Formats: sequence, structure tokens, C-alpha cells
Amino acid sequence: MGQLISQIVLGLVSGALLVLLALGLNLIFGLLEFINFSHGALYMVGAYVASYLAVATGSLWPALLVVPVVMALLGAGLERTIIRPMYGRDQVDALLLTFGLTYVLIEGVRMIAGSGGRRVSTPELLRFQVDLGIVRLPAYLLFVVVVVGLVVAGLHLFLRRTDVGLIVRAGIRDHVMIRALGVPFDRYRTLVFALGVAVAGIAGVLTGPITGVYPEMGADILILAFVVVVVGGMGSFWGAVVAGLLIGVVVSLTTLYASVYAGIVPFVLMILVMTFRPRGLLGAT
Amino acid sequence: MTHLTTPSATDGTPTAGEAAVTVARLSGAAPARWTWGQLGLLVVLAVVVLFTVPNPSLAIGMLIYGLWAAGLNLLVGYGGLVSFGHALPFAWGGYAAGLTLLHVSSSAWLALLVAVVSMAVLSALVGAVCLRRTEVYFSMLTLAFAQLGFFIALQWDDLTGGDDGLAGIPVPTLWLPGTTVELNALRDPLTFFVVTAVLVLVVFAGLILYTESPMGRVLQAIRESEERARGCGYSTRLVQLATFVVAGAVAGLAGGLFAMLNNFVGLQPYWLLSGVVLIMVILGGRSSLFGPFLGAVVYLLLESTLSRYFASWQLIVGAIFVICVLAFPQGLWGLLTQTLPGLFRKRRRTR
Amino acid sequence: MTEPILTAAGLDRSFGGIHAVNDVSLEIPQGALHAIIGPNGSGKTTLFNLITGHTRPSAGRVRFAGEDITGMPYSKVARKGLAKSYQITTVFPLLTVFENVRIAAQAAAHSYVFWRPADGIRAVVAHTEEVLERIGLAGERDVIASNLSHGDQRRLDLGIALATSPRLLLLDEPTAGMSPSETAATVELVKELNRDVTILMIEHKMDVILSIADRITVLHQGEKLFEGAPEDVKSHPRVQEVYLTGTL
Repeated sequence: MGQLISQIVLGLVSGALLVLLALGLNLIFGLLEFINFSHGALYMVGAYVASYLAVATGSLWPALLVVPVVMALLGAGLERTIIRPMYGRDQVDALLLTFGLTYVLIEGVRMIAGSGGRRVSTPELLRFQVDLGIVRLPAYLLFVVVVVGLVVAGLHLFLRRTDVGLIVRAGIRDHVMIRALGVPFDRYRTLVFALGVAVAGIAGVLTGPITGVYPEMGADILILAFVVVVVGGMGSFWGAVVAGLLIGVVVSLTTLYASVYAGIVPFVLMILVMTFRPRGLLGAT
Repeated sequence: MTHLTTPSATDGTPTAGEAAVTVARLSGAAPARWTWGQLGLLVVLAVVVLFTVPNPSLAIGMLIYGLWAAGLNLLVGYGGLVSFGHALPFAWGGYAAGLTLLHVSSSAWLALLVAVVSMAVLSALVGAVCLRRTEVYFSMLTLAFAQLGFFIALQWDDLTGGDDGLAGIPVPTLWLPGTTVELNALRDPLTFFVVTAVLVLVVFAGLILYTESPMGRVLQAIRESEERARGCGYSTRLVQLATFVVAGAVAGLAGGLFAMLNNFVGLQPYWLLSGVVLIMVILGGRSSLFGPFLGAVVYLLLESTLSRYFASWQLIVGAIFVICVLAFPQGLWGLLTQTLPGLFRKRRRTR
Repeated sequence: MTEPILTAAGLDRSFGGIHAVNDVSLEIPQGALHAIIGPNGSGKTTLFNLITGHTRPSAGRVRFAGEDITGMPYSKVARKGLAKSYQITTVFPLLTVFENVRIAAQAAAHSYVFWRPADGIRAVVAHTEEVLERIGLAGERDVIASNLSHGDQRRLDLGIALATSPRLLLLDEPTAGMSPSETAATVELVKELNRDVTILMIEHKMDVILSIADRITVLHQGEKLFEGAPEDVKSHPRVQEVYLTGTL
């Protein structure tokens, strides 16, 4: 029983990280109309920046604040320089461009930091176990779930309650209309891309103490994030949240009971959804 | 998609592909199209490779990768469908041919037939799911399927050899009218090269015919406007699915040949391999079938030379790729057929 | 009298509680040039979408050429001989003018052929040339479609619809955004086309409609306000009020 619960919590944690990536992908797709293939690589870069910061400052806490800012700036810079020329070109080109960017980022990190990967230590404050009665869990995992919850809530409030969020949501629905209203659309594209990358960066920071950081860490999770987007429904905020947690937990439980199939399960789920409900669990028609 | 009435939409501005439009605007009228001439270029390229590339296994690999990339370009360039999982049919073809040679018979024809036919069937199933929704889904789903294939190949190690790969594939024999030859790339690379070249040329010709046929033309029209193609009465998904099957079968053939070349099928993360073949397509240029072939040859040359001097050679390849997409979306082929002739024309005029 | 080529009976469609089209019926006889007018938001385009199968009606049936086509996918409706020209110009932007029309021309008989070159099918090439001649773009046959002027792109849009040899042609504001001279040329073209194909068109320009349509339906807030000959529409007080002020 205790093992089951801790496995579920582990699943929620990895699912929560997936949620962060899937939400970023969704947001960027919504406004910029392309799939950011470099999302996983940017997540990896965020994790690396955090690992160096943690060593330099002796703690992960500064990284949790600094990395999102750094990644947002990086995202804004990328959007302004190499992604912007893609607007109006074939959608395929932006996809290909970010795919190439993935190569550059992964190989760049490999060149600077080596292929071996780095360990990131858990903040001292969280190096204890929480007793939940049936089971004892590392406090850090619960911390991750809380942080992800806060980020998701923040994103939701941002989209629902602010003027910027309103314009972003309107833009997702109808670009032509938004342009006709004379809204400085370009600035919002930069903002949304930066925001998506910053959220991926937060996921990167949080991952560090759990699995360590390594150059390929973004590739595997990106594929799973795609699966989450597809299963949840493209463009659906809560779809991404539900599907992310669901896949996290399902994979985690499969690992416990039938580990051979753990890698396959998310894809089977995806095929089922695409066959019987192609718009995704919570996607609009 | 429905076109609902919005006040700003009535000005009739085309909503899709605005900048692609400006690219075309540079040239005004349609540039001369290469069709069957590509076949001649391929013969020339094959001969050049045969006489200049010292490593026979690399030379044969160029032909195989070239065919694989050309087939992928049916989807990417002609169909506007970017597959991130084209390693799946390649690997499947390898396993199918390898297992046939190992367990059934040493006939090269049979092994290749099994690779192609089984991959065509599998492609129809995978394509049916990947093409359920729009192009955006397509890219993500193809990648996911490739990853699924990787996990299955990894776990089913009784059959595939798992992590160690499928080793010890016997040397195949090829039946030809009046004779049989051994396809041993180590002992007799020339025979292997010639047989591969002939097969590749025949399939390449078939690909040209496909792109020039009514079906292939509809595929390109769907890339331009799926809505309009539907309005002409075409079942657009059917055309895309058929193309997915053709591209899959070609990749299956290439994978089968590759397994025979190495007597081995290796297991590696497919997103990596899928990326390589996609780079070949973009590097060479997606507006033709010969372009990706050229891209494959150039990529393999870059790999074999750069990797000797520079550990992070893939960084250079990635950077070249990004520059390609940004500044030369038509790749090497576009550079050769559009940009360079343009320069000459200008010079002549100033004279 | 023969059966009308198109019959819409009691078509109904609401989006989120708002009736975009409310109990609209139409009968288009063979050979007619029927126009639909109405202020913005009166449901004209939604009505078109209900006929072509882009949108499923909440209630009502559509019959085309003696067959129930309600809820049929658009491509299948198109194969039965119903072609549409778009309000927002929709051509194949990076293909040549010739190829744009040729794609439509081959649809009838050679859709899924993959074993012979498309340019070698003589009947299709001949039909394409004929259509280009008719829409006046024969001189531009090798131009990339997106390089055409706006007016020419709209003519090409119409040419694509025409090349499928339709039995009924739906035109959604064929003169939208055109200069007066371009409009005049298109009016002539539509008149000429009507000699051998039935036409149902949406149009905003009152003068255009009055000069070519033989029957007019006026839509207002999703409902059929009036239907009759051009001269009756002109003199109908309610229509004038709605159409001129746009409100009621």
C-alpha cells in the first residue's frame, strides 16, 4: 500500500513536470501557430543554468528565481532574432527551425559542459521525509508538486484576469480580428514565447535534484509532452493539466507492476485517444 | 475549416503562406522544373560517388540514405507533412529484412520484399492514426510512433537483440536471370554498389513518376490549400495516406539494404536518426527529389570529415541547418538551380 | 417541370443559442442565376456552409440533383457536381495558374492515377486551356498564382470551381474587393457562365445583383425576409429599409 502511494506521488511529480512543458507548448502554439520543437532543449538549458547557479551560490533557491528570468530573456531573444522571420512563411519552417535549434542547444551544452551530465543537490531545507501516515516521502517531491501547482494557477490567472491574458486568448481564437483592432501583436508573440520558455526553465530547475541534468534530458520528455498535448487536446489548458498528471501516474504505476511496458503505455494511450476521440480529452471540436 | 464572415477578411488577402508568396514573387513566373532530368543527375552523382569516395561502405551508404531522404521528401516537400519519425520505417525494414535472412532464407529478393510489403502495411496503420487531424498533429504523432517503435524493439530482445542490435545477419544471395551473386559488401563491394545503384535508380524513377502523376500533383495542391483541394472533390486524407505508405515502403527498402550492407541492425533512439534524415532533406532542398539525395551525400561527407577533427561536429551541422531554414529554405538544390543561375543572368546583363 | 437542382428545406443552425440561420428554404431551378442578399451577419455565408456540408444543420434537409446531401462531407458534395468559389480568395498559391486549374480539371476522371504523368493526359490539358480562355487568364498560364493581381486571383478562384465542370456553382461575393472595371468584367463572366451552369451567389453590391440575377432571396437575421424577381425586391419597402439601414 505504501509503495503504491509513493509510486502515485512519483507519477504526479513527473506528470507535473510534463504539465509545465505541455502548457508552454500549448500557449506558444496557440498564439504563434507552430510547435516549438526546441522546447525540450530549452528545458534542458534551464536545468543546466540552474545546476551551475546552484554550485556557484551553494543552493538551488536563487536558481528558482533567476532561471525563469534568464530563460525568458533567452526566449525573447530567440523569438526576436530567428523565429520572427518565420511568421507568414509556411508553418513547417518554424517547426524545422526550432528542430535545428535543438541540435545547436544540445551540442552546445555538450561542448561546454561535457556529455556526462551533472548532479544537482536538493536544497538543505527540503532534505527530510514527510510522514503521511502510510508512507514517508521526500519533502522535495511534495515541494515540486506545490511549485507546479502555483505556476499553473499563476498562468491561469494571467490568462483569465489580466488585459495581456485577454488579448493573448483573443489572439489564439482569431488573429485577423486582433490585428484589425490595432493591437501590437508582435510584442505579444515575444511575450508568450518568453513565458513558455520561462515555464520550461522552471521545470528544468525542479528536475535537477530528482534526476540530475544531462544533454539529452529534453528529448525524451519532449516526446512525452507531445503525447500530453495530443491526449489533452491541442490548445486546451486543463486538457494539458489532466493529461499530464494522468500520463505521469499511469507510467509510474506501470513501472511498478509491469515495468517492461512502462515506455510503451503513454503511446498506447495516445493511439487510443487519437482513434476514439481525436480532439483529445478536453479539446474543442 | 469554415470561412466565417469577418469584416477584415473581405479584402481577400490570402491568409496562408504570405511570405512563401514573396519568395515566389522574386522569380515572377514559374521556374523551369526538373523532372526526368533528375534521374540523369542521379546517375552522374552515383558515378562520381563510386570513383571519388574511397570507403566503399560509405559510398553504398550514400545511395541508401539518399533514397531514404528522397522518399521522405514526398511527405516533407511535396506534401507539407513533416515527419519526425522516419527512422521507424527504416529500422523496421532493417529488422524485417534481417530477420528474414536469419530465419527464413538467404534470398535478397525475399528479404527486401518482406521489408517493403510489411512496412507498407504498417505505414497504412500508422498513417491512419497520424493523419487523423491536421499537419501539426502529424509531426508530433510521427515522432511518438517512432519512440513507441524504439521501446518495442528494445523490450522484445528475443527477436531484435534489444540494446545489442540484431547481429550476425547472413550474407544474402541475389538471384538474377541466369546467375546468382552474393551481396557481400566486405568481399565484393563493387557488386553491392552496382546492385544497390540499379535498385535505387529504379525506385527513384518511380518516385519521379509519382510526383508527376495526377495523384502526386494533388498531393502538392493539398499542401497549398487542403480546403480548396476538397472543394475540387478530392479525399485529401486518402492522398496523404497513400503518400505516407509510399514513403514508408521506400524507407523500408532502404532500411533492408542498409541491414544487408552491415549484416547488422543497430538500435538507437529513433528521434536521433529521424532527425538526421530530415536534416538531409532540408540541407539538400525540399523542392525536388534529387535535392534530398544530394543532401544525404553532402551530410555523410560532412560527417566523415568533420567528425575526424571536431568532437562537436553536430553543432556545426545544426548551425548549418538553422541557417538553411532561415536564409536558404530551398537548400543546396535551390542554391544551384535558382540563386546561382540568377547571379549569372545579372552578370550577363551588366556586360 | 423538372426537379430543381437544389432544394433546401427548413434549414436551421444555431451557434450557442443564436440562430445564424432560421428555417430557411430555397429552391433553385436548373439554369437559374439566383442571388442571396442581406446585411452583414444575416446568415448568408452560414447558409452556404450548410449547403456545402462545411457546417451541419441543426434541422432541415438539403437535396442536390435528386439526392439528399445533408451532412455529407464537402469533398463528396463536390464530386456530385457542386462547386464553390470563395469569399476569401482560395487558390493554390505557389502553383502556376495552369496547374491551379488543371488540378480541378483532372478531378472528374483522373483523381487518383499514379502510374502516368499528369501533363500527358490530353483531355485534361485541353479542358484546362479551355477554362483559362474563358476566365481570361490564358496569357498568364505560367505565372505563380500568388503573383497575380487581386482581381485575377478572384477570377482564378472562379476558374478552379468552373474546371470541375459543376452542375451548380456557388459564388460567395465574386466581386468582393474588386475595382469597378474588374467588377464589370466579372459580371460579364458570371452572365456568360450562367448559359450552361446554374449559379447561386451571395453578393453585396446591389447594382450587380439587380443587373444579373433572375431571382433574389433577402436574408435578415438568419431568416428569409423576401424572395422574388429583382424589380419586386427593388420596390419592396421592408427590404429597402433593412438593406439600406442594415437594422430593423
